[in-house]
Amino acid sequence: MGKTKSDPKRFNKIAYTILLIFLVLLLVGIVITIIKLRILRKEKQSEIHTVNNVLSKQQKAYDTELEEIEHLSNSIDNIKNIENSIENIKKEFFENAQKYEKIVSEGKGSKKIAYITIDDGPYTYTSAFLDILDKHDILATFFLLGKPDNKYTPVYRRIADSGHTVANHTYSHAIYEGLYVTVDSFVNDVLKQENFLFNKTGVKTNILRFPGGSTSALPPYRANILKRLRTHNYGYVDWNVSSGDAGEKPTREKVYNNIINGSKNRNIIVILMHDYSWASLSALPSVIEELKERDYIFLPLFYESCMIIK
Amino acid sequence: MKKATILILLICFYLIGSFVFLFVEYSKYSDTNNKYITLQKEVDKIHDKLRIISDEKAKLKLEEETVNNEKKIQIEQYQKWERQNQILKDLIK
Repeated sequence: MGKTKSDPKRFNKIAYTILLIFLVLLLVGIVITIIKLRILRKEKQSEIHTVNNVLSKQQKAYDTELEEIEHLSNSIDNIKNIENSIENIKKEFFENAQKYEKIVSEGKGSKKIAYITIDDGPYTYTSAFLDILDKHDILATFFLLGKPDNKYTPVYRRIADSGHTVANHTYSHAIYEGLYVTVDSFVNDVLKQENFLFNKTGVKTNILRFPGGSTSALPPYRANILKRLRTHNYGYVDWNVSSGDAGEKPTREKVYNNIINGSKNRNIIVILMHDYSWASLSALPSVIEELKERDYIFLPLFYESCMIIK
Repeated sequence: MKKATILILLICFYLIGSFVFLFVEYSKYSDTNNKYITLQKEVDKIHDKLRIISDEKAKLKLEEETVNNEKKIQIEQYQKWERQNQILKDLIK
């Protein structure tokens, strides 16, 4: 009887103990899970920090790439429209040239102006003249004749492409073969050359140099020629410094001395040279160097220049 | 027996508290994990965008090179005029 009485009590005790153990284990399990979750959360937070860094770096890289793409697109657009940009900068250049020429003609300005003009081309030496001008990064003026031989086509093109002023020196240069006989013969020759040069270079000329200089057109004709040329918007220019390369037996030294001596006491000089002259070609580098030493800058002639007679 | 019942009740009370705490902790972990997943997705997205933009940049560079070659003479002309113009600008100042 005593045994049967104590059994439910024992059973209850065991049940309580089991329940207690179960509950304690459950509690421990929960606590471990909480700790694990905390550890995992901290790990995730640290990963988030790393990912955030990566993200911000990638965002920066993306922004940089975007900027570069914008820059590239602009650059491509600019290159595609470079012809317009050239026209604009040329316009600005000649406006500035006109302003500076005015300053120099008033005796001011830290540099004087030299206009190198090269007549009668293209000739065999024209490319060599262009090489020297390119090497010194200066612009000049070419008074060109009409030479239909195809071998000169690239030379005409190069003169224009290099930025030198393409100017009219008549088509024929036939001083002794009727060029100056009548007003029409002269003006027609000029207009023929204008057409010729336009076809060769795409440049419409508006500056003329009379073959042999403006005095070659005798007074009765000259006034009428000028009147007619003005209707075609032409101006002309002679020179105030001659290289003397068209004279007898010109040498490098003679050409050099003629130009350097001729430039003395002049703020604006227009130098006459010919691109058939070996003497001028060989003197040109030292002439450029010396004139630079003497504070000259080199400009190409332009219609608005005070040296162009209209 | 009373003591045992009290002990069990106490443990149950702790258990309930622990469950609440567990739930809160899990929610926090879940939020953090979601945030991590979102960020990771963003990283993947921007990575894709970077790849696309890099391809586009490569294309543009090629185009720039082609256009540069096509307009080489004009570019040199422009640079020459720019240099000449700068000389005048400096003198006029």
